[in-house]
Amino acid sequence: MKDFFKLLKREIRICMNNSSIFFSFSTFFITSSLIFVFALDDLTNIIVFYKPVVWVVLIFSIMLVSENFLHEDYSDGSLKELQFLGFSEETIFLCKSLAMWLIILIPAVFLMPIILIFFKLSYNDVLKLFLNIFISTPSLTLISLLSALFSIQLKRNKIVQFVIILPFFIPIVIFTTTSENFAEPSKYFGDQLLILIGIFFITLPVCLYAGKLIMREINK
Amino acid sequence: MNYFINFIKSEDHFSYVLSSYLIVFLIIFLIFIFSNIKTKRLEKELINLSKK
Amino acid sequence: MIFKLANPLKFQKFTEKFQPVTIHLALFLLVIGLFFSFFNSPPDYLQGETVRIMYIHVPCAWFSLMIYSIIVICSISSLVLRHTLADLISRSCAPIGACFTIATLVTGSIWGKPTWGTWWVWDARLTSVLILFIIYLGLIIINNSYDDKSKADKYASILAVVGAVNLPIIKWSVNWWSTLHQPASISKLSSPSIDPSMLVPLFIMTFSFFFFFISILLIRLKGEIIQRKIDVIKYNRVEK
Repeated sequence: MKDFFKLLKREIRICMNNSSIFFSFSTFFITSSLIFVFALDDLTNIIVFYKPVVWVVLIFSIMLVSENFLHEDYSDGSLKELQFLGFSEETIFLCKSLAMWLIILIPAVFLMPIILIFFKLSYNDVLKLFLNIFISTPSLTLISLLSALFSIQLKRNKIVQFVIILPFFIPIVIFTTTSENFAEPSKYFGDQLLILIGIFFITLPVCLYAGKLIMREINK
Repeated sequence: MNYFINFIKSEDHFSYVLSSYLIVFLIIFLIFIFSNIKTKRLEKELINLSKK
Repeated sequence: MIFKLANPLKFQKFTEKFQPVTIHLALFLLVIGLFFSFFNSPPDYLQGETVRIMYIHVPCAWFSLMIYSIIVICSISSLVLRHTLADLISRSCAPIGACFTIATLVTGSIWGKPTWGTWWVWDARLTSVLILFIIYLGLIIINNSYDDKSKADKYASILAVVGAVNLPIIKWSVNWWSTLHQPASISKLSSPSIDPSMLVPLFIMTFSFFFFFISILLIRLKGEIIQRKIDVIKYNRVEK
């Protein structure tokens, strides 16, 4: 446990020093949603499109930003060093994802008011979006860090990362976006969040185990 | 035999069935041929390498 | 027997003997199956003549799933037992599985046009087969994008195992999603029972496809073993 907090502190400190990550993440998030808005034909009915736009942009930005958390550690050898110092691979992976979630995705929730203005959402919708993002982003973070681990040793063809891992986002996207399509929204909304939490508890051990295997393979 | 004659007479459905059969056989044939070509090429390369 | 064959060299000898037998068996069964499916099976009273697509569509669908489970079993055994042949099998299975899956999708949509009136519906079954196809593509890409073959095998087997854990979740969520989007009115596939005169060609075609699969797999495996040999020779030359 002590190791865990030590490592977490280190990760957060690195992120704090490298504040451009969050800046580029938020800029990417806003500009790419803008691009989507420009591609829309019918602006009178813009509220219909906010879910696909927000989730697609969010997933891509998380995947792009996840690489920053691993690449530097890999290239300067500190990933190997951490393993050598006796930190288990699971701890490293968990700390990295926790730091990414805390530093990038929790502040990202504060970008939501901009989305609110873009898509003319009601306060209620934004609250639901906020809750959905809050609950589904841990799984998204874990999966995208896993994909970053997959592609860390690829010098060319980085797009592989996207191809191999996108199918695994499907359940999360389905359950985050269809939350209000039911006849009784108030009744089903809670169930939705419970399913997302359930998906997180399946994703967590699978990602930790796979991350451990890949990290061992990387440092061979 | 009657079944087959009726099948040929069914104009609309005939094309659907025939095209699907042809596509599947084409796909299997293609993967078979490509695997064969690849293996043959590798065999040649191995022989060339072991000669040197 | 299995452990004997697990030696790549012995396996290669076995392949050379066995491969021509399988391809001849496959062709022989294919001819019989085609005869049964066109000459000796009745049209369906609902779907008419298009039911004949079933004799190739269903075996393809079975094999697309079966090959994925073979890949998963090989991946687990390569992760646990660290055996080379398991890596080779999963590596050479992936393209064949992708071919069977695309065949399933294409014949399914050709079958869907006359029966459902459209090439594609966002039905749970169709969508999950499409996702299976994407996962196959991911496996093929990851197999080919690393310079170090053993690393690529390890990554691909991890991806296959993770995919196997995730596939039921995806299937379940897609099922849930599609029932949300549309009422379940299209699953004509789940007809109560099937006539023996239709079952015979279906099984013959399945066996024929099975032997095709085995024969292609053996060819690809032979290629992979030769590829490894070439790599070893090249590596040794560089070392000298």
